[in-house]
Amino acid sequence: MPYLCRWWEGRFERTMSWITVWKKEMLDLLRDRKTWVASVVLPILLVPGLMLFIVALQTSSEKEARRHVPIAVEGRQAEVERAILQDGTVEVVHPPDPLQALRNGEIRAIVRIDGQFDQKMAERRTAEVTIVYNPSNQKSQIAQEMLAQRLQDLNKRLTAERLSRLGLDEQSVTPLAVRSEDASTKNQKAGSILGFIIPFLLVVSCATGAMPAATDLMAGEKERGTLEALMTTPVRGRDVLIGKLGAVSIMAMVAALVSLLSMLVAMMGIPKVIGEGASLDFARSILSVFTPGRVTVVILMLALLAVLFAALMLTVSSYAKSFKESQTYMTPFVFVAMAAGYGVMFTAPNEIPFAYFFVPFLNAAALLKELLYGIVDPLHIGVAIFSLAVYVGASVAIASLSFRRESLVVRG
Amino acid sequence: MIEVHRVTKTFKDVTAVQDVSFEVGRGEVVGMLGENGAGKTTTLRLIATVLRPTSGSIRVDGLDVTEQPRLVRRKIGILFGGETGLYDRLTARENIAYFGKLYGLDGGEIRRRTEELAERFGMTAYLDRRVGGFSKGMRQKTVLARSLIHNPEVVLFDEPTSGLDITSANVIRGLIREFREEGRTVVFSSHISGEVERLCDRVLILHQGRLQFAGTLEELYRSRGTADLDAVFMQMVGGAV
Repeated sequence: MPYLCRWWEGRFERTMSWITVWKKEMLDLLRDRKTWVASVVLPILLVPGLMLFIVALQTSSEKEARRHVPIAVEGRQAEVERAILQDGTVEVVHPPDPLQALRNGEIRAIVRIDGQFDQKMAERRTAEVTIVYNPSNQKSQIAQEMLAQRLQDLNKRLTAERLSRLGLDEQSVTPLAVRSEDASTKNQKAGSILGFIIPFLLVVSCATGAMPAATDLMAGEKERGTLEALMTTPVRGRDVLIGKLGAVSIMAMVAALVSLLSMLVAMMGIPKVIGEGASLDFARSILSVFTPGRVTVVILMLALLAVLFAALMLTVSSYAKSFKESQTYMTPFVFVAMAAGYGVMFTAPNEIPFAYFFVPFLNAAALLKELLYGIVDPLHIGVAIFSLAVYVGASVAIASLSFRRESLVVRG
Repeated sequence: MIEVHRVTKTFKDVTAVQDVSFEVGRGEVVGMLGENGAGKTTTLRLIATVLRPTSGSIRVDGLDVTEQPRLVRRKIGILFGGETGLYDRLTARENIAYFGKLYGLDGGEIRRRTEELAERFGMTAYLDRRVGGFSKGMRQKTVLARSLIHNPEVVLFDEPTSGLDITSANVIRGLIREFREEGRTVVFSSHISGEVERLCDRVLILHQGRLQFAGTLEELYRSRGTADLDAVFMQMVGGAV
């Protein structure tokens, strides 16, 4: 009985110590305005703000590009000119050197009309109308689209005229009508948009959220000399490490979730900015991607990812001689996170190689992409979660080894 | 109270402490003299269980430092001089309480001891202010209170007065005297011989990791034929006076 009591007491004390360390680290981090601004406030404001701003800018510049289209016309033909100029958005100007003017962006396109247009029409031959444009200029591209559309309409009208003169109608020369139909569900559409950017965003923000905390809690504590004082108390090194791991992981998760939320808010705002009516519909389909089951898997995976980053960063930070040095050492983590994010960005969600689910960081991004697209593959989920758990175990072991070094405490 | 037996500590290829043995009795105040790099800090860290001896053994109150480090730590309060670390975003009280909790004290005891120590060091006025804006003296007092929160029987001071102004240094010296009256065992390192002369029952002189002398000041003066501690010290470390 006394033995049992002592065992229980020891157990209790041990549990309490890591909680004590964790609570203190959280309090310390919560009061650190710099960390919060960098890992939470800035992403909340910046991500949606920046995204909406870019979309709005693009939309307005496209609208502007369609409102007024200065072009040059070489050759004359009343019908073609009428077709091009129908509503006054396209304006014909007369620069001395049209090609140079196009390259300089002063005009958006040059329309060259066949010199023998009328003659060829009368002989029922094909007359050429060339649109000269500059694909490196987005506004010129838009002008090309507009002009091609208008000339296509004219072509259709002229074809119909010729056919009617031959006593035929359009259907008799159009045996096939090829149409394409969109079979994707709204959820898949939303999922593929989300799956493009969110895996990248989550993995990267997980890393950037853990970085300042890991630096502060390890290299910072070492530099201030509090770590040595801490190690003179009866607290076990393991408890200090667990407390710190917990605090850094939470910062990483909070940062990831905050950027996810702000990204969703931004995406829901996009249709409104573009000026499409179906914004509510789009928002609803974005939300429908997040079923309770998928959210549970995502949170579990994020937690593992956060601990993985935290353990590795604390280890690396423990080797740094100063706060500044630690910050330098942290940079590669951002690259690793970005590589994992890019790794699945352009891969189709249903074509992700199986091997990806074994690679640390990449497996998190791959699983996220699948889940967002609506693929729930138990094998993939199992492999990704299990292998992440193995990496977490290994990295925590490495962290605790590096935490046992005497040189950690003793400077110089 | 403290038994150091044939202790050697090497870091990679550097021997910081070599074959050092000494004892400190309960309630004794012992000063440790030596140049920078003589092994004073390493010796104190070995007693405090921050470092493990490469060979030899250390016992504190009969407990082996490598076998029962956590029990030893409960008995020891350690204070390192120079730039002393505190958590700037926590208040003085929170800094002290954090260590109290890690020493296993309960909330009531921590509160009581903190008030007591704050009273003793005259820091009640700023106890609940964040440490970030503290002056060096205020920080020093906070660190002192922190290392005494668990009422340690043994107090280790590593150059406690270095970098302090006259007033703060005197506070520390007064404190060491009070500790003697309270029956605590104190080991402190210093390179100010006057300080050692005024405060110590016995001295340890370290040079290049080896213990050159352990005994009372009278014994030291008698054996060297002079009562000038500086001269004795210089003789021992091989420098010319």
